[in-house]
Amino acid sequence: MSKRVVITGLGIWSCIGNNIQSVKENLEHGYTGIIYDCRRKNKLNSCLCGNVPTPESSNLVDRHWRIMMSEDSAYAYMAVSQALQHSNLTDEYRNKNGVGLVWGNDGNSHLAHAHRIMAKERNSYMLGVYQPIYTSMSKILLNSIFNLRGSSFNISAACASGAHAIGLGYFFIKNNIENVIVAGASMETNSFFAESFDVLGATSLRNSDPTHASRPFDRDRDGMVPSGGAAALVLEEYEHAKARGANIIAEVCGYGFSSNGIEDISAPSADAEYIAMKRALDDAGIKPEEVDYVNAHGTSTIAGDIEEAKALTRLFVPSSPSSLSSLSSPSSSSSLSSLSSLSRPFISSTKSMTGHENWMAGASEAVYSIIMMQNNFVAPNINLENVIDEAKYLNIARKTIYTPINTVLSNSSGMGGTNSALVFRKI
Amino acid sequence: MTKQEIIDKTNLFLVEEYEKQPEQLKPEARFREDLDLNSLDYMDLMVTVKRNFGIMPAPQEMNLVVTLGDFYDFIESKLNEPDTQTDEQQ
Repeated sequence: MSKRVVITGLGIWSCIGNNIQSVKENLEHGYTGIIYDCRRKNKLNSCLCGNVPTPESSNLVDRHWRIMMSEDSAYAYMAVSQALQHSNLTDEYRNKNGVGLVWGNDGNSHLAHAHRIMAKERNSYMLGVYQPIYTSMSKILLNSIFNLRGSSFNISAACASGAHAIGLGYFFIKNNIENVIVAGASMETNSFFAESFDVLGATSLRNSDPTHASRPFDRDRDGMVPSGGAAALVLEEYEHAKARGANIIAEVCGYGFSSNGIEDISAPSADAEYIAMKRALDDAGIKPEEVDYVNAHGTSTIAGDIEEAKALTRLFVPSSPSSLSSLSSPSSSSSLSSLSSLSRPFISSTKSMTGHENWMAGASEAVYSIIMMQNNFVAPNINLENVIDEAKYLNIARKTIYTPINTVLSNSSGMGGTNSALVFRKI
Repeated sequence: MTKQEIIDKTNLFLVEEYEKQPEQLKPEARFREDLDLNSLDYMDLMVTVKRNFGIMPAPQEMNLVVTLGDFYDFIESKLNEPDTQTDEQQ
């Protein structure tokens, strides 16, 4: 029999705040965490990035772990610390009980650093033994530092890593395999990955106007802004959480995924994104009209926003002309009258404020969505001035909207065509 | 390099890079038990030795070091080996 999965702890380290309260305030007021990084000048076309604070972990983490930490591991440590504390999963509890860990990450810059050392020194000893070259380095350290003794998996799925980590953690608990799992993701913010996106032409060139650079679904968007940090959620079996008196924040009730399966690894696919969302809603046992808010993937890239807008329109506005034309058997009884006023769900991309948090995005956006659900507001999709045609039937929130939110859908997609959708519900 | 220079240089990197307290750095202090240096630290110390003294000890040589005093003596003997070439001499 399937188990119910609830969230009993949240942790966040991001460019819009490094605790739940500050993130809540910045989401509510539509403040951006995006800056111009002058260190990237004359090297990268785009010098824009999320301004993520460097954690001061020297007094918190033993040197043997600390020197193995990649940049994102330090963010991960801070986020997981918060989530465990929030959930009251004490050292004593973790030592007595198996707590799992499913962590999203798809690489860090130390591999490139190690290559540079080898090219110069031509002696493997000079690498030192603490080079954090593993993609799973943050997961390895989190397991050791926090004595997590259950499942131990790193999920690498590009910019959907964090979302899939939550989804798979949810599956483990739902299927009665584990009771408590820490799920989340982390992403470094140095220029290494920014270089990779820069060379693809995927980044915004609005260097002179950082706060308006990330503008998902806007006609004048010109690319994403690389960002990062870490986000963590404690997932727990419902009865288990009740029995130990945990603070139950929300329920994870749906997860859907799909892969584009097309030749172009960077091309998004409305069809595949639609399938992921539909599967998540089916898993949750709810209809599209029951969704109050969608946290869109909305990266502010040219192609990505168009395809996601098409998928969202097909799912949530099935009577729109574009949705009807995409269906093989359009329902002639569908009425266009409902399109005269936009209704539920409200939609926004918090990447308009955070930039694209890449590996971490699916986890952080789950945290942002749950914060909104707890406080009954929809964070604005800032910088949306002229909505793209493909999104014209969608109810994208341009300003903060105060409204009850009971059910949330959060979308994520990654390079190579991996799509994820998660459904959260108030409890 | 004099023995005192070796001691000073070693103690400096143990404080600055390995975060040991100066009062811990007595010749009789044992690397593993007293200074909390594990097997990975031993490997890392080889790189530190190379950077500070210009010589690269073999792992099996490092494994014979038990106390800090042993380490000072080991560096001194390596530097005084007739066929040892440091980075500076190269």
